[in-house]
Amino acid sequence: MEPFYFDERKLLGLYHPAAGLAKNIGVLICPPILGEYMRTHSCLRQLAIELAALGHHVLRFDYSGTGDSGGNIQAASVSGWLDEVCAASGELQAIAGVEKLAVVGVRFGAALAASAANDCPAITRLVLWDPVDDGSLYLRGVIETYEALIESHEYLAAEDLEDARSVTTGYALADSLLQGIAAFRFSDQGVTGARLSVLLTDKAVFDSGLWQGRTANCRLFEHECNWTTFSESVIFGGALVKELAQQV
Amino acid sequence: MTEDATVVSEQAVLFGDNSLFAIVTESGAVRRSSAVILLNSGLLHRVGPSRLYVLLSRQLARQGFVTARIDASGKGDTPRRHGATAKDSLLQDYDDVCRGLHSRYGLDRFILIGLCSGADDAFAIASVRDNVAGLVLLDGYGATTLRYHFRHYGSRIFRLGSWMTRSRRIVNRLLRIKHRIEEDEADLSMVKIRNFPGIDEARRRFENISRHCERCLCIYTSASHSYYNYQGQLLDRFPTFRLQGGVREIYLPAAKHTYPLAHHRRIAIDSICDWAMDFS
Repeated sequence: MEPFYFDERKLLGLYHPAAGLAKNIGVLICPPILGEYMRTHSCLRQLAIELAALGHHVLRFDYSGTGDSGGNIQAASVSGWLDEVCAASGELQAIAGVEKLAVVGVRFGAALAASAANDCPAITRLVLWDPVDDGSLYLRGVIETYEALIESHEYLAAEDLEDARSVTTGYALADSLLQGIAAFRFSDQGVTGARLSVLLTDKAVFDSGLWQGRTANCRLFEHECNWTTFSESVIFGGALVKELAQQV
Repeated sequence: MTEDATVVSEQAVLFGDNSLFAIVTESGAVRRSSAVILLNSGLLHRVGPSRLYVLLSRQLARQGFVTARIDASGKGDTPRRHGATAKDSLLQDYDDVCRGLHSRYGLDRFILIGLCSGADDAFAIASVRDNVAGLVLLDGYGATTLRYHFRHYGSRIFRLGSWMTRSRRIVNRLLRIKHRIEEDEADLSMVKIRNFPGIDEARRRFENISRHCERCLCIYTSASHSYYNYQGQLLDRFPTFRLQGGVREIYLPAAKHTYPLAHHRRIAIDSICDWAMDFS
């Protein structure tokens, strides 16, 4: 693995070169955001290692204001992050010498990947793990989770409670970012058909049939991710990682 | 989290034979003579919960510290060390980072910061490495005192008095108290989960640390309620633990263990950075 910073926004990239005979398609990994980013780090690292062993050049990266990348989350925007997905795509093409890219996107990272695919012709394939369909519902879930955390906090003093409520999430996101997230609709992206694969871990979401209407490549792989409750537990991939790698 | 305009720069670095992953942060501020090393919290990678370590690294860098937030072997982006015990692996990681920072910056004194298991690791390292100049333990080691038990059980005893006046309910209530005490004892078992050293071993470690470490900061949150419940408890329990620059204890009973609320993160970061200002 080769770590490096790229772009004037100082984005951290982690490049996993292909082992053995390289395939002619690189894989860019778009992580989720906020708490989900921390929880999936280990899983996405495993996925990158797995894909590299299968002959793919892989790049993981952090959006600005998240993870180890430069900037603060308060200054981040959805349009900025979309631009960064394209910048990371270009970086992977340049390092690996590949023209075509598959993007693995997780949760809101899947939303960014789907949006960026419209602006970035190198992206020919999308593999999405529990993608966000409606940004406003996703954001509501984030906010409700945060509020439940505050309400259940038996030791929180009154002044702390007021302070905690003054921010919409534990990350104190800017209004423009909140609006950008809320405005996302997967159905507006026009990403359907053979270029799209979706892996769902929640049976209820799978049974809703929403994603099957967009692609024939929609699979259920039940795995306890607990996206909608406050959790800091790391998600371990194992079989899930193998399944994602197979989808790529 | 006071921000200033001092620009920080970050580099991704691989230290030592095991390619230990670290992000090294520095700024153009006048460089201090000690570097800061941040140790993983549990299984989380170097970013820390709610980006705590990133924000802390940058603020410390603005104050002139070179900081390295690392992934210990087997965590984050660092591969596991095969054939090494956990303790050996931890010390080898630490030595690799120290050598790397020394060769890059000529620094040979280090401040260790850790949360939860990271605090346990920092405590263990500091007791056997004499280049540790400072120690920040977030929900780190602690041991109960008589005063702790008075505070812990006091309210229950008070409630017992009022229950006694209601003779009809005495038996039931006493049974409930017994149950509560058992629950409290179960709470105390968290100490075992964390693999805290025994009192004698802890005392020995503090003695060792006193010989070379300049100052220590311990911050406790609500997660420590099962073994810590008032500011000053650590020194009450270990009165001979004295450092040249002092041992500071901060108790944040409203804060949660991983600082998910921005307000508490800000308090923790500002407290650490304020404490660190005393280092040359």
